[in-house]
Amino acid sequence: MKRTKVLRSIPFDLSLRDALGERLRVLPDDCARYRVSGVTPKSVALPRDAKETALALEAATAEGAIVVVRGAGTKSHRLPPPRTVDVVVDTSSLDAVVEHAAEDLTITVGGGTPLVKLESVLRARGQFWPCDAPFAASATVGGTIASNAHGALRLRYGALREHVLGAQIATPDGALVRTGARVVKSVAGYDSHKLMTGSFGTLGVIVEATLKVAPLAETENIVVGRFRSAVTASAIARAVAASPLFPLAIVLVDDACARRVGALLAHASTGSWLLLVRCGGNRRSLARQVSDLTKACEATGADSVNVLDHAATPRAWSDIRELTGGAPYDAERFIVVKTTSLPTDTPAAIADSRNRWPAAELSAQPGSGVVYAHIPVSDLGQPADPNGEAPHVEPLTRAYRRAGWSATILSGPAASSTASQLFLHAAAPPPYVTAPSAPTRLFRAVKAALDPAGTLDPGRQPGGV
Amino acid sequence: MDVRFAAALEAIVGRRHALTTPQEIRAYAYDGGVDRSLPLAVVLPGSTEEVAAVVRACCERDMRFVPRGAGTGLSGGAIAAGDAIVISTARLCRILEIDAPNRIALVEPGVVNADVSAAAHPHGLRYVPDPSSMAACTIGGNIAENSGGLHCLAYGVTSAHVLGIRIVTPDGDIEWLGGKTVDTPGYDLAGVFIGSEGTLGIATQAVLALSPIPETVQTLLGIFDSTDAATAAVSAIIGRGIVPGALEMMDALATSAVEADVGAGLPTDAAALLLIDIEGLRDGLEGTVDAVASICRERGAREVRIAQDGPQRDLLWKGRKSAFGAMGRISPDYYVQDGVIPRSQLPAMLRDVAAAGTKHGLRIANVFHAGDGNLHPLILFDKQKEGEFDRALAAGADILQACVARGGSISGEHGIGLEKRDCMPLQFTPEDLSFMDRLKSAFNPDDRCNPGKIFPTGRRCGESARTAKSGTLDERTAALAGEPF
Ligand SMILES: Cc1cc2nc3c(=O)[nH]c(=O)nc-3n(C[C@H](O)[C@H](O)[C@H](O)COP(=O)(O)OP(=O)(O)OC[C@H]3O[C@@H](n4cnc5c(N)ncnc54)[C@H](O)[C@@H]3O)c2cc1C
Repeated sequence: MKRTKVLRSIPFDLSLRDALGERLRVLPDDCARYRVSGVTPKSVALPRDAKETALALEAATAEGAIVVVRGAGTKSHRLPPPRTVDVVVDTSSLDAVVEHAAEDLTITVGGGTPLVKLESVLRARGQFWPCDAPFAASATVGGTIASNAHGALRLRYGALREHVLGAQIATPDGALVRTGARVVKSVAGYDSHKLMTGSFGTLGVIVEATLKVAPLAETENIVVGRFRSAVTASAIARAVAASPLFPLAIVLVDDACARRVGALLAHASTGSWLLLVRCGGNRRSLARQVSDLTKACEATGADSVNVLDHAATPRAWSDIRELTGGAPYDAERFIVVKTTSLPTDTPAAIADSRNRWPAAELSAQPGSGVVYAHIPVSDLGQPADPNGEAPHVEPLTRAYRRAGWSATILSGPAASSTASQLFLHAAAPPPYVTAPSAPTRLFRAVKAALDPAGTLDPGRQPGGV
Repeated sequence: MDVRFAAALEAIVGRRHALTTPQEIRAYAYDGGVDRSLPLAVVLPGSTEEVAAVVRACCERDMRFVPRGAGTGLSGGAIAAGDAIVISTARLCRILEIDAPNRIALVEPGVVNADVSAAAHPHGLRYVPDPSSMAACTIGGNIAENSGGLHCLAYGVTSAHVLGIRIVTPDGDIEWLGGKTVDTPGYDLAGVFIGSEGTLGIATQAVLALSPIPETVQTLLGIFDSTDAATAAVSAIIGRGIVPGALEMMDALATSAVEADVGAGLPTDAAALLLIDIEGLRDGLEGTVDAVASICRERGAREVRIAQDGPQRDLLWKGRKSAFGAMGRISPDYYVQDGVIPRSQLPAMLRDVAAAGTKHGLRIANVFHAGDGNLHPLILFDKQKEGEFDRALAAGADILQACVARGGSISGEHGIGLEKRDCMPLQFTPEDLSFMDRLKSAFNPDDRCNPGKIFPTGRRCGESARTAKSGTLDERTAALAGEPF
């Protein structure tokens, strides 16, 4: 994509200032707080509504400026860093609850609405958005959708995109478009809002989203089984996921992750794995689930099986959902790598991560084939064995391609990007993603069609899109 | 059609699988909807590579093409609008793999929906989306329409059950969108391909997610003396935090047709019936069943029956699934609409539907996915009677208008196709449509793949191609005169 205009340094041309007035910040102190993977933007736009957001984008595009969209900034450590950032568009003022149609199980909110706000509005009516994304304390709805950051509830409720029914999107040319609808089912036109999931703000800005919500289970428990082997625990997870017990979520954590969850402290033990099965239903259904799960764990040699009760479950889960690269993993100190594979390969993916990054804290969704490795930066480049020999690890890119797995670096300190490249053994080009057969040509075509000027954070998506 | 092009197609798929005579291609002019048009030819490729070769041959000659599954789509999506060939997936009908430990199936697009669940059944798994047409419709068609089904209320429509799609792009390349694993890096192109009505490429393989079969299921039949009471019960059930496996409604007219057709033992004197599946573990299920039954009674059900065994349950569902076809018992022709509204608007919306019938002097039967708020008004008419078909179209347009006015959508699962393309402006602004058009151009810049679908042509909503006398379309279609509608 050729950029037609070269941006002059700040202060901006009049159009952006005209569009935003006071809502455009250019003071160095303001900008410093909005760093994107170490890169300080030249300005920050704080639109108050959808229209101002569209105006900001239109003006930025007209000036040939590069825009990075930001919700609460919880994913501001995505790698690789942008080459340059002219404007950060902060969506946090777009935080209105537009309509909660409780009896229709839908809610429409501004893209900048914090998850905490959404969740408390829903909880008041016995509902929730079944997308247990990390950074629950600060992340926004739009940012969560844009980063496709969902958790283990996908096992029962499906992918995040299933819980977005429609959206209003501000496009780089300053239009406001709607896609989807405010009803639970619609095939009128393309589901362009589904394209927004995982697009990291590179195709448009989600200024409003209609979400599909679900009723909270009458009562919930978490069954905690402790195992010496991740292989055994994963096998149980797969069997349970395929059984009529059909739990809400299954998570497997190593002892380091477990120690980050208050409710699990008592159950963690060095070298062990905890299998966490969240189940819900009415009392009798729940009792049956808990009893079957307990038996299944015991029959396969669990060291211990415990149950977190209905009172303990919400708190415990709010900690557990963070173990997917969330709050405990300060991006200055950890690199977070997400691996996806077939569920039957999860134990191998876990073993591979352990081998590659011995000090990593590992969590997994063994029923869905997802592994998160939280690698202490201090561990990188350090030889694993005490004799100072570099470990004999097959380059990640090659190993993963052969196995048909994908790996993505979710976050890390900007300064470590060289290191990141190193530990992926250089073969994975920025943005440090390896996937067996990505349709890169189509990614490019979609980007060129929806953001022809390359306004929105170009070059950082898989394939350098 | 150009003989050299015909020869090129034959060279790719084999002579037997390239159809050009009127008798051979007749059946491809129709998809159960109101529009019909003969393609120039029909090819039946036997592999992804053959599909790609056919598409490339089309590109070389600037020929347009229409992907087609079983042709049950109802909105004209699978028929050729203007000069085009049809690429049928009828020979791409193998289930390539059932991977039970990973709960996935790898299938070709011509596989019939019901066959996937049948193949998964021995493993205790099923493919959840179960459109009423499941015995005939294909996975490719389901993906293209993001089809719903009776059991999509609790578990989500097709997009919730598709992990990856192998496609032939409109310029003849082969790509995987998504794959066997979740969250493949990059834009979620599978998410946007699903529901794109065959305009972004041709699916040639799909990875489907399989789900565990519930331990037990109970089917309730709520019998109501007013449609208002029945729809109020629907809202109350959902509002109480119960999401049944399925929640369907039939009104008196639909029930009388079904009874005449299959004799499912449904009461024909009731104003409305609710058919409800409660699924799950044996333990605790009774509690949910009781709760649903008492909500129905509170809202005025005169009786709530619970199916005693499998055969009884199957009979009830057979009645529901055969409802469209059963219309033949009470009317020479019918036109099915597919609007969606927020569930809470059901009572008012059913009055809108009835008003549209009165206004245009036509009977309208209702049988629909009540739990989703997805209506299927069946507008009854007799095409032999002067003006009735036009009135049916006008009634359909009124209903769609009312759906949009009530905050809903003009299609829940049958798609826009040809039939509703000129209704799109009811729901979308020119900016919305231009955004979609740009997205389409990323895949299908020359509009060669399923041309003329989805996007408005500037006519009025309710003016189908059939009535609009649009050049070539009608000329060839004239060859079909005298066919049953
Ligand atoms: C009696 C009856 C009941 C029905 N009940 C339901 C229901 O409950 N729920 C529901 O959702 N629908 C229902 N339908 C509608 C219809 O069955 C579905 O839309 C179905 O998915 C269409 O499948 P098909 O194979 O017949 O597709 P077709 O009609 O052949 O094609 C439909 C669309 O898909 C495209 N297409 C087909 N194959 C491919 C491919 N491989 N790649 C790309 N595009 C492709 C076509 O171009 C066309 O646009 C019903 C229809 C009937 C007649």
